[in-house]
Amino acid sequence: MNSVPVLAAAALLDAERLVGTDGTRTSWSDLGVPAPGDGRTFRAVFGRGDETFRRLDVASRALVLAAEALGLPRVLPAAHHDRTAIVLATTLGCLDADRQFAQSLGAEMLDAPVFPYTLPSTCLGELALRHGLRGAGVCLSVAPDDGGAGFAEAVRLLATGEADAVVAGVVDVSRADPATCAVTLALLAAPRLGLPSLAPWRGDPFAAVRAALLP
Amino acid sequence: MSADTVFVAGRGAVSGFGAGCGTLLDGLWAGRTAVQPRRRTAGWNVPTAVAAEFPDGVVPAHDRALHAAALAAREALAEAGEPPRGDLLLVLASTKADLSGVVDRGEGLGQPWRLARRLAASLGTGGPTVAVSCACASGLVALSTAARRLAAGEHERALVVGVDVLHEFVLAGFGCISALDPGACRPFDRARRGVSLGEGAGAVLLTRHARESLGVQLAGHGGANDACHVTGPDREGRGLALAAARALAHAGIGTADVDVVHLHGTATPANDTTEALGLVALFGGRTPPAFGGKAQTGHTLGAAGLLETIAALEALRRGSAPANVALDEPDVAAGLDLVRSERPLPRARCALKVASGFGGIQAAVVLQR
Repeated sequence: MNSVPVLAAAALLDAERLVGTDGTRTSWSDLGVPAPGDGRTFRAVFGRGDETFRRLDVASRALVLAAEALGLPRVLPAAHHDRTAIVLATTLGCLDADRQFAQSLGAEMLDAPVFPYTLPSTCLGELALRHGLRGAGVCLSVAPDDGGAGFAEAVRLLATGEADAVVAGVVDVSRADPATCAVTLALLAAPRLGLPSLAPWRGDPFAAVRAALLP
Repeated sequence: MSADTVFVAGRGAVSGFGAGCGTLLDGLWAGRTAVQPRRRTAGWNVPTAVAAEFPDGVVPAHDRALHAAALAAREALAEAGEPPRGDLLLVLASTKADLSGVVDRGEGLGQPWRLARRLAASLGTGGPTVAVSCACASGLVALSTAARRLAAGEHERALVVGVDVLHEFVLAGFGCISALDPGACRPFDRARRGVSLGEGAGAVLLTRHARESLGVQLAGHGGANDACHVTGPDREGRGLALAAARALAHAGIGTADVDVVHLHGTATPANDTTEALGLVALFGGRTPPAFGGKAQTGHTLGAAGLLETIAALEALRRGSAPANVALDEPDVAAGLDLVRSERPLPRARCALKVASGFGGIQAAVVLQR
């Protein structure tokens, strides 16, 4: 049985741009905001609103933008959403949110809205609820040299049959340092789903994503 | 028994009861509670009078998370007969790990991978290191992560360690979202008002080798997402039930095969209500005997999944389920068979353990004798 997953969609958000296989191609300089955007960026890029985008922490915003650029509704039939997992890897985690909440410890009022985002997995939940993805969730905290761990775990979930598809990737975002912003996402699917492949999934996963996005 | 079967070979624990699995399990089965008036944390301005702190002297004042994790890990390794370290996979579960560098000086930065690397160096595990941070479901997701790799033959053994220690950051955080009980928590009780937090470290040594087993296998695991809210549960507990159903399917068994359930039971009004609804629906109207431990250990966050899996495993070994402490008047779905006094389960062979976390993450594992 072929256990190599199909790369069905991809998106990349970095210090310069947001690109996705839904056709999104925009740069922060075009938008006039530093990476990874602000509370208005979702509407500015996709031309429609997102009810709660503005209140999200910076990592969740970046992930939601990148996931939208995957074009999930077009690529992944709703019938597969129950068995679509999310696997994220992050080195920075939620450091921005942590520091924001920590600062409020010495203030008169605690920053209650930011507390749920002091977990690196909360952005995973924001993605799941927006797209109705009810598969397993895995958030890995990884060293800087281990960014591919999330993709590898996604492949395991597909190989064991625990998931039919996985939104997998890396989320490392810091408002303090826009130059480090990096979200790389791939929608990996089991071959039996019959989704078209954008690029071969072998070797370096980051190279495969780039091949799908920047031919 | 298939080639991908994973067995439990060792256990370790540090909790509000003190160091050691025996201390934890004796406390749980005796109906004692480690949730007590705050001592070490008494100076923190947080809206609760209690927490389950490590007893004095169990871990040093500095680097508490590392020391607690190492203590639990070494106990598990010892029970497993000190397996060879060369290829030992280490999987760490934690929510905030070491917060130094966020709230004071240091380099922990609340990033579990940093703590995992230090723990691996301290233990000399030798194999790869993985850090899982999935909120309060971290422990069970870490067990799944390790079991998946063992079943695939990537490693012979895995040491899974969960740890979180109390910090003002976390206590204040739970307080400001109105999730803390001002007093001791009361899971599933009509008077429940929220969580009591605790600190803990739990460790489980998993192996592919039946001869190293304590007589219990990790027979299945499953995950799901509520996909409805980042901090609140699905109103009918559907995500939790889905994760449990997936774990049972992975184990190749049905609900009729489950003899005992270890609950998540945080004592927030919404969590307990929806957990009960989900489980009752899964079991077709009446669950097997069910118990939880957070009224006794506090909610130990990243450690909870490990400590509570150890308790579920003990229910199979002892052939009994301990009482749900601080439960006077249940007000959740009547079909949840909450254990009110120690219940003999002499023929129990299968336990289901469930967990939920922020981000809608749901996880479950199945243990079988």
